Amino acid sequence: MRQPAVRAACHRALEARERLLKDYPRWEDWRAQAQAIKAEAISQLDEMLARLQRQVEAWGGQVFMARDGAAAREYILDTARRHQVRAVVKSKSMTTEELALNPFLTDAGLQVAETDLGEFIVQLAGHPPAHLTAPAMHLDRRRIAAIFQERLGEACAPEPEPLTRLAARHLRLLYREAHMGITGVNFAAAAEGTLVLLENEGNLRLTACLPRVHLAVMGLEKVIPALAQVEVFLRLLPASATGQRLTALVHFIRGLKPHPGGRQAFHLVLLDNGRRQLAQEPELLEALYCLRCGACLNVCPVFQVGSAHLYRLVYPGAIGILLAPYLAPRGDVSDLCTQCGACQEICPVKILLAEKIIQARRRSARHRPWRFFSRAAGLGLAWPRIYRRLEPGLRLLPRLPFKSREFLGIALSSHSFHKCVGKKGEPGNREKG
Amino acid sequence: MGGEVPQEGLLETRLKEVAGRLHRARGPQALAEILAQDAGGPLWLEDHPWLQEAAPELEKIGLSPRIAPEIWELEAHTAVTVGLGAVPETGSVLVAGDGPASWLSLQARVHVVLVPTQRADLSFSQALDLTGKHEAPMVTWLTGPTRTADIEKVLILGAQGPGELVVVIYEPD
Repeated sequence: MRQPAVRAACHRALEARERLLKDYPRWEDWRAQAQAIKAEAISQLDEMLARLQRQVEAWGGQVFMARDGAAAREYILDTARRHQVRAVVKSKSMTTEELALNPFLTDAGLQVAETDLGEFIVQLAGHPPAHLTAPAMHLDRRRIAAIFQERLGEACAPEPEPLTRLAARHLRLLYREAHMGITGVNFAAAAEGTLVLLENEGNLRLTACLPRVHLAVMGLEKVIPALAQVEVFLRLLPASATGQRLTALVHFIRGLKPHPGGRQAFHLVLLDNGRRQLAQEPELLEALYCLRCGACLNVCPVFQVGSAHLYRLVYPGAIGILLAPYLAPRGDVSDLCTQCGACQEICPVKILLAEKIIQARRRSARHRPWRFFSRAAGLGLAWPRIYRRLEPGLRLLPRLPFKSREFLGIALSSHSFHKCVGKKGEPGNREKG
Repeated sequence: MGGEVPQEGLLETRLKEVAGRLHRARGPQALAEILAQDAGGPLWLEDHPWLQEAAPELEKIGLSPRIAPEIWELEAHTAVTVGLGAVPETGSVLVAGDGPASWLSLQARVHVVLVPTQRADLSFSQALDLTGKHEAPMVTWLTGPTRTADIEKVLILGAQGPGELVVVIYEPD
């Protein structure tokens, strides 16, 4: 783990965003509009999704509502088998990370290749993505050159341009061999049945156009009422993610794309996987407004130290803390927050992330034993007289002879936080691509 | 369709910000001269009346353009297509394809997009409206050439698609 590299990458993204926002006097209006649109969509989720399904089917797409990851995986594999697919190319999609789709399809005998450069690198390395929008941010150029040498068998100068060209050359062959392209979806306009997908590299377009089958996977919460409403999101998302006015390519799909010999087949998988349960939680459903821009990660002091690998879940950072108890594979990482509040100031859809994390902690079984102590500490700090009387006793605490490093179900670390994440934050191994 | 204030200056500025280029041309001869500047290999043209008119002019200056009515070509050095319009606010051009021409620019090194003069100053919402009404199965907004910063946040143009985007505001004779 190269913590300085992660921190530097986060800061560069934040600086680019700040520069652009100087040109955006209506930023706060857009944030409010976006929040209102998302609130409307989530409050009428079933109606919106039914409309989206009708519209997509009207233009020839096939729609599958997946209750959970297992149902989605089975549908995707079944679709691949029906179309005699042997090789799959895939553009970056955190929703497919939820499904652990790559190992599943690989185990079923399919060849799966990630095509986004960052995802291509981490797939070769066997690492999970380090960031929602910058998957290989934890690896420097020398490490990437070594990975390419080991996995692709080609030596390359450890410079970003030759490394990018080498990856692109390999990917060109994979696009031609692939029978199915799998992508995510950023927004889906229910009224028109139009799917909106953003990218910078051109890999998504190749993934969506060249194979004879295009399958898109989207979380239910990506639906918005109508295409006209995507305007505000197209302003907010690229600016928040990378400081761009617009990504290099924005695709609007509303039909079966042309292909030699006819038309592509198109499948849309609408994934629940815990989202409907979250939508029933009035205090936490705002987490479904998330655009996956990653700005809350860039600004988070905990994320900057450990990257996404620290969380060991699909979604890291403040938004990951909120999604973790609902979106499978589930978890509880509500302790990985300092309550600095920077995330909710930067969130383009005004999710009150820090406040919601407090709500999540109140529901957390892991935090239950500590509530008494945190309340007592709060009282002590609020009343200096009490604090002064307790201080001599508190100083003796570290000397108490604990037999185990476990106390009230929580592992006590013998290291400082920074040393601790240095170990915990090593990327876990994933399948080799 | 366009906004009240001509915004070609803004379009040029925004295109420069994203490493794109802007030209203006009137008639096939002027267009051919611009296209010749970027021709460094196979030059493929979309099967469109404007480009059919430009093809003989290109041949006059020694180039061998190919028109793509049936062939699904991925090996173009320069791909020339006709776009739907441009959005000065973001420096974007709108392209749509529903046949072999839709593949032309996927892996070309240079993508030249012709934009009709009267649609060169679309507002964001006008562009969305036009996108929604267009019949092509896929409309794409291009804002500069393809790019990546996945390795140490160093910007590399031409990641997995065109490394140059040239916009020509075109008026036929």
